[in-house]
Amino acid sequence: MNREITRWRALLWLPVALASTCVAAQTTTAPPAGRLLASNCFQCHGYDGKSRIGFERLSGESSNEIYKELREMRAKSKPDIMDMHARGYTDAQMRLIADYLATQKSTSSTTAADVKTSKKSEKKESKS
Amino acid sequence: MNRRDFFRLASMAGAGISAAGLSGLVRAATPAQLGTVPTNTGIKGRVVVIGGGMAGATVAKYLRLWGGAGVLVTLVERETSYASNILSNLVLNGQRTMTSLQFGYTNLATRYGVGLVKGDVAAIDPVGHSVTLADGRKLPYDRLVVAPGIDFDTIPGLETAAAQAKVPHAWKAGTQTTVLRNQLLAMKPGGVFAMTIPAKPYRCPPGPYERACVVADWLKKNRPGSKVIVLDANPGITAEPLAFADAFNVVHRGVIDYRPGISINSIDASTMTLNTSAGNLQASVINAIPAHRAGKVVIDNGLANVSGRWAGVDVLTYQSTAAPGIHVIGDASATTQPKAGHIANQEAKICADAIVRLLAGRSPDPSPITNSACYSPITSDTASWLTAVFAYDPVSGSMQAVPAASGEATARSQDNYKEMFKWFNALMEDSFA
Ligand SMILES: Cc1cc2nc3c(=O)[nH]c(=O)nc-3n(C[C@H](O)[C@H](O)[C@H](O)COP(=O)(O)OP(=O)(O)OC[C@H]3O[C@@H](n4cnc5c(N)ncnc54)[C@H](O)[C@@H]3O)c2cc1C
Repeated sequence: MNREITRWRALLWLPVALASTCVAAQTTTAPPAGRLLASNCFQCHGYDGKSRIGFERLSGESSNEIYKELREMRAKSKPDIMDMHARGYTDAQMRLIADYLATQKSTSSTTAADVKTSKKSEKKESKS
Repeated sequence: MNRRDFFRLASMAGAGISAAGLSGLVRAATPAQLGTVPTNTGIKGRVVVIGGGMAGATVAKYLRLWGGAGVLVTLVERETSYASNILSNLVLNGQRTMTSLQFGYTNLATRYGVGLVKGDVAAIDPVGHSVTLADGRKLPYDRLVVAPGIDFDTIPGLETAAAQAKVPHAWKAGTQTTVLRNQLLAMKPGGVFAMTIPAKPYRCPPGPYERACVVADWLKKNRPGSKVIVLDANPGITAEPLAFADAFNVVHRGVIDYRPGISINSIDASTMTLNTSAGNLQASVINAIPAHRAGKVVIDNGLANVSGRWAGVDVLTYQSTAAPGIHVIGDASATTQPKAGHIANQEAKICADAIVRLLAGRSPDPSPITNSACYSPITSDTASWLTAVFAYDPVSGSMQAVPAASGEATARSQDNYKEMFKWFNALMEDSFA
């Protein structure tokens, strides 16, 4: 509790700058297609699919891999939680999600080897 | 708080902590996997968020991630840290502590440059575009997001603070959760734990049944001969009917006594008696969950235009149907979606995306999707799950459940129980870290 209060206080030292308001001109770029749809995955698979503590990491996979996995899940006869989830999205939506996630590159702090290990341990866990 | 701190806080009035002032810090401090705030979107605006719960924390974070450094976000929260309702039923059987369910706001400030103001919003001025805090401070906004969660009706007989402390709802995690845990510990073998469930809509549809299971499981092992009597104002189990019917009729048979269709007239805390539509009932512990309504700030500021309790919204933007420029997300809004933390998080992302588009002069995404996933403990080492996906239906203008994607686990399992913690950690990270 005290630590939290100290943190709030520390934050109050940060510089204050009043913002001026203006509605942006049309020069802004449109939000990437599929980003809002793909954000349905972030609760469990981390921001942009870059899971560290949750379920399987999605970034680093190709669009086709993600798309194929989603379609396979949707077809499973005894659906687990993610299989059931996959049934909520059309082919076109799955493609948009897969395309967006595939463009979110694995970050420098995670090597391809890390991604593989985390996937393996994920599979092991769900079997046990 | 000493005098100097107070004045420092007071001098913040009207500004919050500038998001722009923090942008230098943002990139340095954010682990790459959690995302960085872009500096060059060209989008500008001031957004004030009321309430730093599942919905408010998420919208503040995503407004910065998707809007960029020009979208200045100020989060106003009355508490110093957030106490998670999710998993708080496990405080009752001693598997979690309330301390382990606290989430601070520092990450939102240091990683994403969200301005933090500790305070209680009292008034909203939709014409002048500002909010006023209980201590008089004023915050101007271009867009306002209201995410105060819920408040409770008062059950007749429980008007005083003393009566409420004796008959806790523990439906907002915190002190009352600990009170209820202590009451369980004080129960004698052969006692009666009575709980009441309000009519829909209430937050976390499976939550009360989950609680009945967790408590029954604990009583069986620790206070043998005790019973859990569940008085449900609804005509039947409102969520995960298979899992909970199995729990009530098989797993916890003889311990849980489930009685649907019973409403509460009043509760006498001194004699520990419930006066119900099916007669009087006495219990050693009473856990009464009152009917819900949107948080006070919604009701007091004319935003509760659905049965006087909930905020009507357009689910493409979560903009209030009562006042323009004001968005209401999470439990306080009236939608076809369940009042749940997972859904609140996704509503927040749709709202953040819509605000960013609106600030840039664009229209909102015309076909949003939300999802809910939830694990419910049935015993101390097994859990069930439910899932739902909602898609926007342009004909009714509402979010409609996709039937094929909405359902529950065929059986409880230990794997589900383990996955529950993974899900919780990931969801809380997406919302607060
Ligand atoms: C026992 C229990 C178990 C649950 N389990 C699950 C689960 O397993 N899965 C799931 O998805 N959901 C679960 N839920 C539901 C979930 O907790 C809620 O749906 C979720 O918290 C709603 O988010 P919210 O942001 O709308 O409100 P909240 O999370 O309640 O946040 C509201 C915030 O606003 C602040 N606030 C309110 N008014 C003001 C004001 N005027 N000024 C400043 N600040 C203000 C409050 O202090 C609070 O921090 C559970 C709920 C309970 C009670």
